[in-house]
Amino acid sequence: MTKTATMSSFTRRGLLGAGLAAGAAGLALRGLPALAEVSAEGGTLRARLYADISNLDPAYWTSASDALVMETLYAYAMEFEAGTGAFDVRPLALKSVTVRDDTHIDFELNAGILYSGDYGEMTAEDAKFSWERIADPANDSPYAADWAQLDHVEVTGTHTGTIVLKKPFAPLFTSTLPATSGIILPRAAIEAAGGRFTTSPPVTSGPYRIRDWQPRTRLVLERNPDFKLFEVDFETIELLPIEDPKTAELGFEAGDLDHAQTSISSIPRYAASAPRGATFEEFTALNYYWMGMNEANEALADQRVRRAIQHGISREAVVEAAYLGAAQPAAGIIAPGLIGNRAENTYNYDPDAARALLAEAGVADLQVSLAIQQTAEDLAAAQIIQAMLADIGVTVRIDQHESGSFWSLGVEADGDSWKDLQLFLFSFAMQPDPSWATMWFTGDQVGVWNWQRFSNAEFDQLNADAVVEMDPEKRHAMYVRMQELLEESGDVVYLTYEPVGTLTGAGIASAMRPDGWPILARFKRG
Amino acid sequence: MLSYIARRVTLAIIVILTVIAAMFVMMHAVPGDAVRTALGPRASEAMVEAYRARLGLDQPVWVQILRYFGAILRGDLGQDAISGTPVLQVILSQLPDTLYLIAGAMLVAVIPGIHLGVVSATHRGSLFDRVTSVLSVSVMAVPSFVIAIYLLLIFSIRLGWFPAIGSGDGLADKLHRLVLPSIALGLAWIGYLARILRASMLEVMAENHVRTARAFGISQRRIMYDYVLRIAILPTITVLGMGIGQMISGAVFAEIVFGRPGVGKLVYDAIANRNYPIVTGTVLLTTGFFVLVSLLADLLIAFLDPRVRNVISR
Amino acid sequence: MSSAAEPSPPSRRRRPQGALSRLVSDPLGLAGLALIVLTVGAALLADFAPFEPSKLSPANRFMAPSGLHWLGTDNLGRDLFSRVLHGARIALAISIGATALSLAVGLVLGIVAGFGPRWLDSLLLLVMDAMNSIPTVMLALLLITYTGPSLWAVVLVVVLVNGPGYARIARTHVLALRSAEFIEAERALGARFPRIVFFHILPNILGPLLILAAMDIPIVVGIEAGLSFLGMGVRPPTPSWGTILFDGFSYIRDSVWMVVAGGLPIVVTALGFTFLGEALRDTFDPKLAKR
Repeated sequence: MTKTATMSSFTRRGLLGAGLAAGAAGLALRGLPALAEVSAEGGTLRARLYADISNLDPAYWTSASDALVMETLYAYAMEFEAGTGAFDVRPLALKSVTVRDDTHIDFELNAGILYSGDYGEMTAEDAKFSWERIADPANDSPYAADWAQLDHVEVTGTHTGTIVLKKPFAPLFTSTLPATSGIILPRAAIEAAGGRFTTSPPVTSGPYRIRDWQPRTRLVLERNPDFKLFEVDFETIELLPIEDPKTAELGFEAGDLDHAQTSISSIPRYAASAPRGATFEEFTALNYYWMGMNEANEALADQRVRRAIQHGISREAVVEAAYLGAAQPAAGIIAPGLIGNRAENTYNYDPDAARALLAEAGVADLQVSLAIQQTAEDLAAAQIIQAMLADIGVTVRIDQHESGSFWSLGVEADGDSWKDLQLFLFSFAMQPDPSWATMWFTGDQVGVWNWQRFSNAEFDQLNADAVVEMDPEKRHAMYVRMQELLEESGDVVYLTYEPVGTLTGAGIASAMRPDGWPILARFKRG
Repeated sequence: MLSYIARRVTLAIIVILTVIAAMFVMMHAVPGDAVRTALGPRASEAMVEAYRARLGLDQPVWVQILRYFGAILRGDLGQDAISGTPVLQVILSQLPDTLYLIAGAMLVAVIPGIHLGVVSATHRGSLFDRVTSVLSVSVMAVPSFVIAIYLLLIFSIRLGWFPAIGSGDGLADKLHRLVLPSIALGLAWIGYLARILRASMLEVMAENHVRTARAFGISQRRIMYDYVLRIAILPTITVLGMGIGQMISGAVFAEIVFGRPGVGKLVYDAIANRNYPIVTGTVLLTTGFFVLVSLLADLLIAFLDPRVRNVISR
Repeated sequence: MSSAAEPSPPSRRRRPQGALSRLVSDPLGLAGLALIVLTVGAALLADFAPFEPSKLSPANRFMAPSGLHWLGTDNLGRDLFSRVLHGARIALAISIGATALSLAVGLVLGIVAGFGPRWLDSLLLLVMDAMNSIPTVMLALLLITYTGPSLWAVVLVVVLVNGPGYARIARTHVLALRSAEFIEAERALGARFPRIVFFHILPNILGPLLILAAMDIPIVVGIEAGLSFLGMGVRPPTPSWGTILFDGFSYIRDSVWMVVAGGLPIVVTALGFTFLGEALRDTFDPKLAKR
């Protein structure tokens, strides 16, 4: 690998030297690996964004790309620490947080955090406005659940106040305050923008601000001189929206990017040898990947049939083939490092048991469809599943969908396709709190995101209780039990937590959350 | 002439309106829309419904079509269903990169294409003519995305001569990144142009006045370049006009393979995400552009060569 | 539109000979035939492929060509050579089937437009103009969004893309023939519409249309492969060349052989049919010089 890279840059220089590419002269540096770039570009960090931004409003943002960018634009109430194995949090805009009791949390803001424009200093009044704005049902924020138990915020001084909850709320410190729903913005700016905004924030407070946005091409951020909460190293950050991770790899190797998430299937290759000078890091994302079965579909209504399919699939083989050996099979939907991570699953590969169950259910020549998206990983996984199920006498037809049609397949409000839905490969992203994983499998979610149409009273009760349970051990047991119930129903085959590989150019120190999420503002040079 | 223009323009407008109406009907029949993408997974059904109503997606399809036509007349192409940015702004932001690509491809195609065509016509039946003809046919036959992938594999990945992704900053960088995609897109057109030009030059050369000119001893070279080419280039212009429409198709693949931003990639993503305002806006503009270019090409020919006008208006 | 200025280069008149021998005596025709024989041979011999085309063997993924795997293996360890052979079947079946169907549809529409009332003619022309003015890829993407990806969707796209062209040519010929003296005479003698179409119109237009169709086959192969490349073609694990190419593009950093195996047969088939079409046209119909 290293050898090829050196050779090719040598050849290129040779060519340019020979004057063959006169028009392209002076571009020699362009093509060289990141090493040369960083020093040349004078403090610009160029990173991949896997989709363009679409909404930067804390109450209405939509994609992980939005969240990634928001982290650089706003001073979050709290932040995740980089480079630790666990999801440790510490205050950022907040100077201190004191848990008075389970429903009263006192906070104090750092003094002197300045907003952009003429919006002055960040105050407790702003915190009250911002948090209550998300919680207020009238505002229809998709993130209202992050403040589900918020009664109100009491302002006790310019910089001090108290969060008053109706009930204890465990995710407050894991996925509310350190994430987008903890962002504090001034009322005047939001109102001036008409109550909400999309891609042009009326106000920012973070380490960077937007200098230039060319939709779908690049987003350039520049350092905010007024930001004093921590030092940033890079004068500018250039974010390039590149959806296809393979394309991003090519870009990284050609020196167009200083930091990029690689495709999953390339992890083994980069782990064996990173491009010259680059650092390759591996993480386990919170994203969970599973195969769901629609229990409301006639062909799958018999639990024994679903169990047979669970037994008919070697999760190891699927994960190995789809991720080329970069991932391990998962026992549930809550990733390692989080409360509720499950060590063992119940139903494993056992083709004989599968055939026996099918015979017992009186099913022969079962034909089912498997809905997937058009990713290389889904395609590979689906074909392995197809081959293994053929082995137990189940014929699988693979239906590929582009994202628009895929995401409406099981949604009742979008038509009748949910009735025909049978098997599907699903991957959900989540925040570092287990409640984000289980919330999609409740009875309320049937026909929304619960495409399995899994419905279990005990599960629903546990899901509600676990959010207000403050004892970590009890919480852990509750989430483990929920994953057992889900598997027991026969509706799911847990596949994996998606591995994440990242490449960082020479001379740059990355700042990563344990799930491979880059905290761009904390990247350092040297 | 005026009535010919009027007829062509009316036809063009009807074609565009038909395309738009057909698209609305088709999109209406397809399940799913961009609303869920726009709101994220945590939006409630009530929010989804409210958002749909705001975009007018809850209206009967004919109402949507009429509203859209009304909006077009006001010069409003609507808003991106996901980000809320005006569609025109989104498309205009992507257009330059696609135009550079098409211009690059044209450049790749036109200069060699014309020279090969002229030389083949003047040396009809020669070895050069035969070889050119086989090569022309060959490059025309191979799908441009196959060429694109092979170019990427050989020149970017194996040899590392050209960057693999993006459209670049600054003139030199942009040009450097244009080379491979332009070749991928333009290669087939070298052959196409050479063939058409050769054929129409042979036709012109067979005409009486050319023979007369020859008889009067005007030099072969002057006859070819000053006279024959000038007339024979006309059908080539039409073909180029039509070609721009097909190049937009090719641009989709070139932009995907080379990871470039552009209109092709924009519409591809928009279709996948059900971002209908972007889809209709792009199709409207490209179709309009296509119709306009072919109209202009026809008018130009009709203006320059009344002989052809009769054929067209037949 | 393509007939804007039909150039008719002075034709090299040849003495009538056996069609095949004339074709073979043209090096281009011979090359075309050879390439097509190669493709057809691959399709016929697919049953004797060394491996089952969908047989997975993940442990053997990304192998370079060897005595065992002539073209190497893909990301799931499938034998690429066997997949390419089976892919030939798909490519030929789709391209020939879809071309035949577009030809049939085009003929019917063209005859209807040519013989029918003027308003119907105008309407058909309008619809065809509208279809032609949407870039092919967009038309295909929109359609397949609607139908879902499948082999039939690919065929449908081909018919919609190529059919109007044939219809136009058929119509032009019908219009020209309609007022021809011998048809006027038949009419005067009370010949019925089907008789005129079957005995006079069809024999006259089928020849040129068939040659055009042969030359369009590479376009169809390209459409099939292109759609599969965008994930909108045939279903996995069907070994279509486009699918192989798409997989190859996904794993282009891991192995180049998938791209090679998926792309080369497309090139070979495209060249084969184009060469043959050219030679056929030179042999039978020098007037159809340009398209």
